[in-house]
Amino acid sequence: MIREHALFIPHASAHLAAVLTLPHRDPRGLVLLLTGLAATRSHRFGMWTRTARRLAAERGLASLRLDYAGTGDSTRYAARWAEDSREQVSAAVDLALRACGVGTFAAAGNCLGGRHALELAAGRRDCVGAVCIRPELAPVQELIAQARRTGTRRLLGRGRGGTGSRESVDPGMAQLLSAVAGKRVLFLYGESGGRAIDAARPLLEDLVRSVPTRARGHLEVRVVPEISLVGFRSLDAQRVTVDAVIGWMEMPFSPANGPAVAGRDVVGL
Amino acid sequence: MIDLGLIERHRRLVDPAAGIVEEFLTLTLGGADTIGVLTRPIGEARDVGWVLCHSFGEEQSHLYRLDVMAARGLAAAGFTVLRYHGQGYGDSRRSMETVDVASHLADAADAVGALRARVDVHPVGVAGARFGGTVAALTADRLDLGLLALWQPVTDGEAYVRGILRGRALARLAGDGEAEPDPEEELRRRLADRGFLDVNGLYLSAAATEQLGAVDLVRDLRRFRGRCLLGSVTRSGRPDPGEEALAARLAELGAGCDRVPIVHAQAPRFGRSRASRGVDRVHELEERIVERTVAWGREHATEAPA
Repeated sequence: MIREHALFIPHASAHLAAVLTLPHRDPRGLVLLLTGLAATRSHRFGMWTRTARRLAAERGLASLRLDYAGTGDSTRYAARWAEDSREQVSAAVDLALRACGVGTFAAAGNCLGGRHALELAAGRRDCVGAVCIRPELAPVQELIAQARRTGTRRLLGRGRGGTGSRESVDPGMAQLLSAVAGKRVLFLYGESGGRAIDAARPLLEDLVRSVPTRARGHLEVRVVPEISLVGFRSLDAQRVTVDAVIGWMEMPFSPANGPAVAGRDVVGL
Repeated sequence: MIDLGLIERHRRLVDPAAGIVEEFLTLTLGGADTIGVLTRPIGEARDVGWVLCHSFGEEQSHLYRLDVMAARGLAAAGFTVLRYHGQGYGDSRRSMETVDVASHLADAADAVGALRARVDVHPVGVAGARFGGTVAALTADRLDLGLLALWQPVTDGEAYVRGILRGRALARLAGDGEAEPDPEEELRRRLADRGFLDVNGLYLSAAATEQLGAVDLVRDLRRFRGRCLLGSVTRSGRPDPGEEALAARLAELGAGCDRVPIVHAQAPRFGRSRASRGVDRVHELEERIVERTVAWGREHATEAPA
């Protein structure tokens, strides 16, 4: 029998709403489930709720799903989100680790949440791995700022149209990936839809090339055929993502934590 | 070792600046567990309590923040407010396959009971936006509640279903990987054959579609005689024919109906995706809705029959 507890986690001037899902026994570890901007903690049609309950029932793992400040049940009223979302996530993890009585966690998220998952794996010793679902590989904030300055509406044209120049990989992402050396990281993409894998492929290749060879053994890039993971706007996309996260989360908490399948399918290492 | 004491200490928040206390509850709604949030004033509470009913499908998440802001705004004005995740939504126990109009109505009725069981409030009012407004109106009608606040309620269920199906087609046209949208007749045929339809990730069951299509709010309101805020959200200021008919029906039933129009440039986004380039485009619109709702609540709370 799993248990769920909804919490308000204080952070700076805000209270972050979150749900902690616990297995029926003491958990083996903690998984942080993150969303992109504006989505609430349960994610699209309860996708993270389903994930959390299966992680507890099938893996014996606790999980925390979180509303960023200004979204869902969290406090703070602002028209612009995510100014300190990295710090919010870290504060939530600290409390959840104490509540669960465990010492390690892994993180999974899409979009901004995927970026934060990677940041946690890179920056915290107690984070044992990250699942990054369609993380932005180009320096999106810079591109948005540039688009605002120039009024170029199609600058972020999903890899087509745009300015005609090839995007370059976000140096911050490359640094993060180098810093996670020795920890498991999964990049999960869909083959079709939005910024399809064809558009992301050169960036992924650049990104992986920028990582020291010794750090690549724990990096896996998985591409789901014939599915778009954009916004999880299909039942199949949700099912595949939930299954992938649950399946993958066994590894970072396993005592026999061997190397991942390196760069499968896309990057051809 | 799990620290239950630590967990319990974080179940509620006290916000002295806003003047509210908010706590998470575990409720049993529609026959299964779910999460509720009870928001109260720090100081003395008014006698009136409110239950906020959420909308259907994707609108539930798009309008979630409005419900949160409304709960906190009403509590700051002295009201006790309960909101909840209906079965099939958010952190509820059941899956989205179970969602239909009957489940929405059962959840709402149970939520009214849950509020009354926990807090000494009378009367209880119900409120909601879009389909949440429809659920609130039907609940008030069935349970003889005295206060009702609706924002752009869905009056024509069949048109609402058509809008959902059209949204599926538009999402595909916008580039989700399929070049041609399916015509509505094809979608309805598939719905009948399979018993459900995948609408941009929403499990839309045949039962839900049938029940939604049967909703005619003007016809379905039979005995509500309390006080009603009927809010419209438009860009042009032109009155909605459905809301006009609803106002006439409320008058016919002997209810008090206060029309509250809000004209706003972001009105077409109401109930739809709120984010654009990291900015919440409907925040200001929803603040105005909350302000008007709270002002109306203050003015009419004492008039409603207990």
